[in-house]
Amino acid sequence: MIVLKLLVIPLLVGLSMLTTAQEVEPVNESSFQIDPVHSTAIFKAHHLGAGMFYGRFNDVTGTILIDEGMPVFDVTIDINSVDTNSEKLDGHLKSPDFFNVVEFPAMTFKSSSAKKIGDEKYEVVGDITIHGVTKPLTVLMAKTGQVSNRRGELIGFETEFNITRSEFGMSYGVDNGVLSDEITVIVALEAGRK
Amino acid sequence: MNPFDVLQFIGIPVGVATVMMLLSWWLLPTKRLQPVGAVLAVGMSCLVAFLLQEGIPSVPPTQKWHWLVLTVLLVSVLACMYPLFRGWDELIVLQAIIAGVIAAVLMQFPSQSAFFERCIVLFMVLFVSVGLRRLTIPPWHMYLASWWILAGLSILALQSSFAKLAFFAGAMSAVAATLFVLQLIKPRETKSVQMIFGILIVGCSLCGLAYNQTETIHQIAWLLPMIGVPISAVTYFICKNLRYGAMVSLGIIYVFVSYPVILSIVTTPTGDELWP
Repeated sequence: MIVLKLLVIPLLVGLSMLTTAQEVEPVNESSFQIDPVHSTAIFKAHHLGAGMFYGRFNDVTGTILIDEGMPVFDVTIDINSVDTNSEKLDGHLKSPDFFNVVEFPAMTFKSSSAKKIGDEKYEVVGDITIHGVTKPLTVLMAKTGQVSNRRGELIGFETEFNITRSEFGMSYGVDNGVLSDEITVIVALEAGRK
Repeated sequence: MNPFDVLQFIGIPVGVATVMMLLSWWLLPTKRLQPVGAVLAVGMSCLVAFLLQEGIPSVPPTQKWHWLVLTVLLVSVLACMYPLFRGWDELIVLQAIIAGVIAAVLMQFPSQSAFFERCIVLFMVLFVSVGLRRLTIPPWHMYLASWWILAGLSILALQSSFAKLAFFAGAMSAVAATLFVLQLIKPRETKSVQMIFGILIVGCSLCGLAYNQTETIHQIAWLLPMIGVPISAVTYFICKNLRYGAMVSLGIIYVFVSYPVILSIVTTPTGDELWP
């Protein structure tokens, strides 16, 4: 009987601790999943020194974590989803002349720190990886809204920043001024709580 | 595509090859050393054509298609050394096997790294290299065939929106055309040069296949031009006693190049252009 108690009591205590731990463990309340349908990445470049050429990436995925009020971004953009309203230009952007989608199918941004610099505005520091090249990037991220509705809790962010594409090994058309080296990127994210 | 680009990306490599060949006429008069001139001309112009597109290649390369140029350069260095050793320059098949092994190890384009695919690379380099020179004598055949095949691959690359490969293959095609003309003006020994063109043809074909982003160009279109070389060589061997045997063998290459090119032009939608 004593042996039975010695076996059962620790077991019950262990089970109760496990149950307590499950109850105490916080639900991932501040983690949001980016909605690819309502998120967009747009880019623009100066074409032949004349007009501004716009294109977009239709598949933006990833997560936004709100950690002690500060956002942490892990965003992935599928290069295969590039859309310039021209099948041939899309193919050219996917080729090794530009993104080389076969070897580098995605571009990513992973933030490492964020600082609140104003009302719903953050300075976010992280690493951007394009074409297999990773570089540090600081962006100004604006929180565009946070609501709770029948779809659950939604949060939105938007940023606009510039990159120099030749720094990422994409220099096609830079020397002869066909397409500008400086590319403006606008990323609008909408994410739902997990 | 503007004329200045064509002049720059194709004209400069052609200029380099021409200068190298003319210098070799003067500096390498002995028959044994004559192939070195053509090897240096093709190797240097290949490097220049690549530099104009991508700048100085890093080792190991940042992109897998850069291995094409590094392989050509390595094989060019070997091809320069063969004539220095008496007897080696006669071993064309052995040279082609060595070039094939180097290509099979180095030229691993995306989704082409399986052992079976490596073996195909080895055998294609072997068949194309030997086919270009050993069976298709006289040597101007090799230059003419290389000119057509690389020009065809350049058009295919352009149709599949890979402009850098299009310019590179186009430049090497123009170099082959230049060497063809120079060969007619002053016939020179060309042993070992076929390996470099063999690597270029197989490399450009497999590179285009690996990075093809359009559905309008069928996979077999990339392979037909290089498959035409050994078939042409065998045909020449069979028809060598016929008066027009050489023309028949060249005609086969012409068909194997023209068919995929015409098909790609017909099936690719018109109206859209590459930048610019």
